[in-house]
Amino acid sequence: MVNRNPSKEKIVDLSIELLILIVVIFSISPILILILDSFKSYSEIITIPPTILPRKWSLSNFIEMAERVDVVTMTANSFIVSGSITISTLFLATLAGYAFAKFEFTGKDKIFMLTISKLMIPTIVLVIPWTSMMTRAGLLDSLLAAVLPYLSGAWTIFFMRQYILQLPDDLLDSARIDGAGELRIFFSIVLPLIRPALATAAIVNFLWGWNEFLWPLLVLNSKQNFVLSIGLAYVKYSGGVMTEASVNYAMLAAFSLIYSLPVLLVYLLLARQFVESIVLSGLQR
Amino acid sequence: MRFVGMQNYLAILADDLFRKSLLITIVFVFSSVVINVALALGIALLTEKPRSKLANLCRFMIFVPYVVPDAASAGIWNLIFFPLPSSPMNVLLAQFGIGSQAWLGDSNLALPTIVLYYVWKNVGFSTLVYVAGIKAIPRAFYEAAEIDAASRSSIVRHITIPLLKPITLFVVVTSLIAGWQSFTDIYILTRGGPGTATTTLPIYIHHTAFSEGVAGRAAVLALILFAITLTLTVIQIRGMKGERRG
Repeated sequence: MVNRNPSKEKIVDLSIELLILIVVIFSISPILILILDSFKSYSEIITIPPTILPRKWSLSNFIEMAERVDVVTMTANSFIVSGSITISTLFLATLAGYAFAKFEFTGKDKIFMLTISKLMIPTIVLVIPWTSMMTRAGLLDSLLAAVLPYLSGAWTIFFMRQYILQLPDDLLDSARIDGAGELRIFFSIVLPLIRPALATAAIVNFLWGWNEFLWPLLVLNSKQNFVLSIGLAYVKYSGGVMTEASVNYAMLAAFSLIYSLPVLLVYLLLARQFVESIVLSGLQR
Repeated sequence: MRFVGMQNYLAILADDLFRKSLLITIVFVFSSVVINVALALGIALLTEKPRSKLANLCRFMIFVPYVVPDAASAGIWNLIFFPLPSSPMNVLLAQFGIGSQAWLGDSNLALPTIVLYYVWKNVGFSTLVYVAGIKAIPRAFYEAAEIDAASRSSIVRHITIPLLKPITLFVVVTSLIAGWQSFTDIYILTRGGPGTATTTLPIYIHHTAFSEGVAGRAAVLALILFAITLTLTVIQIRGMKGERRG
């Protein structure tokens, strides 16, 4: 028998709330420190006694950062890279997923297995041959090289195939009997029906593009081609100095905030859709 | 191109740094995955019922570190653990009389600091997967338990956790795979330093291929990493098939 003592229940509930509060603080306090630090001067960050709120809210970190690195160009480059990856992948991978879901052709299953087996290969393994390919094609240090390997994606093909499989064949067949061409069927019947899947794939691909670090680090060398992710590495390690104590933490805070801001804003606006998309995509990067 | 036979493979076997980086990766991956999964399950159970506004807020907030781009979140960890007495973590510990540490600059503390980072960054994802799993458990199981007047803790122990086994398998294996490959965070946090204290396999491959320029040897290291990921994926697929049959 269980003793359902009301005052004991209350204590349990209260301690659960307390534990949850600790988790919230653990998750969010680093983000708050980031925001506050980006408005503090470097000397305020590193001197004792520490302050919680900035002594004087100042934009000088952002101004100094804009003088040292071309953060506007980097932001534009990040949008160009993530945007073209998203648009191209959505188009190509949806077509491929449609073909895998609704058409019969020789070797279909084998080609499909080959496509999704790409998901198992770590990026660090892929970039070695990619680099020698880009070197031979003379594309090093261009935004084109940064997006080329990502113009379509195995995960999106797989995801679209699974989604399109659920559409009834009758729907497509009756359109064919009515004399609709294959492209017309794709654009005016299939695409409108898979809009939620397209939204998910767009969020996931844009985030991956925005997050991408290793590949741009290897192919983009001149500063006017930097995206924000490698700009951040540049801000932290500029001058080739690697000792922790010589990093300018005020600049690092300002840059990290600029880099995170677009993603954080979208998360605030679309939290539910965002969470579903990412949890669906698993950890496949 | 010139074929060098097994030369690259033999060089790796004799490479002390390879063995060290493998060991570092294993320690990093296993400790972060164990803590991550245990914590995620705990938090999911705590916030499972929309008990209060606080539980909802928690599920919203815990995902924020996962949403922030990897390079930026690693930058944030640098802001908290920088090796001066004024860093937020040192200030916090000073309240308990613990002296200032160098954290990412200390070869003994750098790896644990990265493990803590990894948990902070990823626990939100695992928690939300668990929350979805808990929601999918049929109510009938709980109703039966309530008729038997089972206590809260025994319901969790004998119903929820056993039924979550497939979810646990998914979370463990996907975290293992992601952990083995993680590069961006460690590159921004320490670049594998101090010395080689946090040089995981991906960092070592990057260093071998692009700083030392020994592409052949890096390719062999990359194949070893691929083999490890492949093994983990096969275990996951097998495990999931087993669950379905069982």
